Amino acid sequence: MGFSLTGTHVIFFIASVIVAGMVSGVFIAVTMDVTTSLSNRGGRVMEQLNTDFSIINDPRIIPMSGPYYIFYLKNIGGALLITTNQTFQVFVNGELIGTSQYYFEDSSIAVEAVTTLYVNTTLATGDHSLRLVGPQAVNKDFTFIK
Amino acid sequence: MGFSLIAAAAILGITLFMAVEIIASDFLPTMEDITTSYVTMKDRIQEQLLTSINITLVTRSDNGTNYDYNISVKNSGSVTLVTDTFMILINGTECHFTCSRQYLYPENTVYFQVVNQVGGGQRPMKIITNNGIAAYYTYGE
Repeated sequence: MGFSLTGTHVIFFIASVIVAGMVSGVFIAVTMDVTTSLSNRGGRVMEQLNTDFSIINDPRIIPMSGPYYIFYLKNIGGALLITTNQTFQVFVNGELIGTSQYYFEDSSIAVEAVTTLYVNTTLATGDHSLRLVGPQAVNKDFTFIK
Repeated sequence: MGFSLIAAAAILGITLFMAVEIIASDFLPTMEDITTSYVTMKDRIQEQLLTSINITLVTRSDNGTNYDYNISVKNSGSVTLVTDTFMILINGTECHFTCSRQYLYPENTVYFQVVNQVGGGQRPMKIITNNGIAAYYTYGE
């Protein structure tokens, strides 16, 4: 009887250690996943806060180079701005322009620097709007006249 | 039974401590970085709000068949501006320029010279500061 009581205690002890270990493992794994996700999200928020740009054209007159309209993009944010067809989407009068119809002069621009955006589109005489959607969905609208 | 409970509680306690340590070592630096970015953004916006320029005078002189422009710009804001990173658009197109000073202090005026510009008549102008604040002018209006 005495031996069986000790055996029961040992079994309870081992079982409790195993259960506590399993709970600990799951808890640590979940904590690490949540922390990693929060860090990733934090990185994206940080990038969003550091990203800012402006279309600095004179809206009264947009220059052209062959079939391309020329827009000047200035980095007024706090970090290097990657300017490619993958990081930027262009909308003219609300319509998404295909990536083959626009390109940037530079693939990246430093803080306070300017690059040129060439957009190949047909515009009638009158008012038009350009929307640039950049990294982390930071976007700017620009209204101009042709 | 009592010892089993103590052992389980000890394991869970250590786990809790480890979890807090993981959160503190990974999450707190991220929060610090976000705060730094936020403060930088706030400073940028504040500087933009305090920036203002006016084109006070534009003169044009003949240079053969082309034209030279002398543009006077006054800093009507309360932030010192760096003229190297200004941009001048004449007739919508970027123009190269020289400036009389590197820094444009509040209430001061600098002179930008743009040479060899093609075409006469009315010329819309736009000057953009290093932080994106602009002033407009139309020569010959």
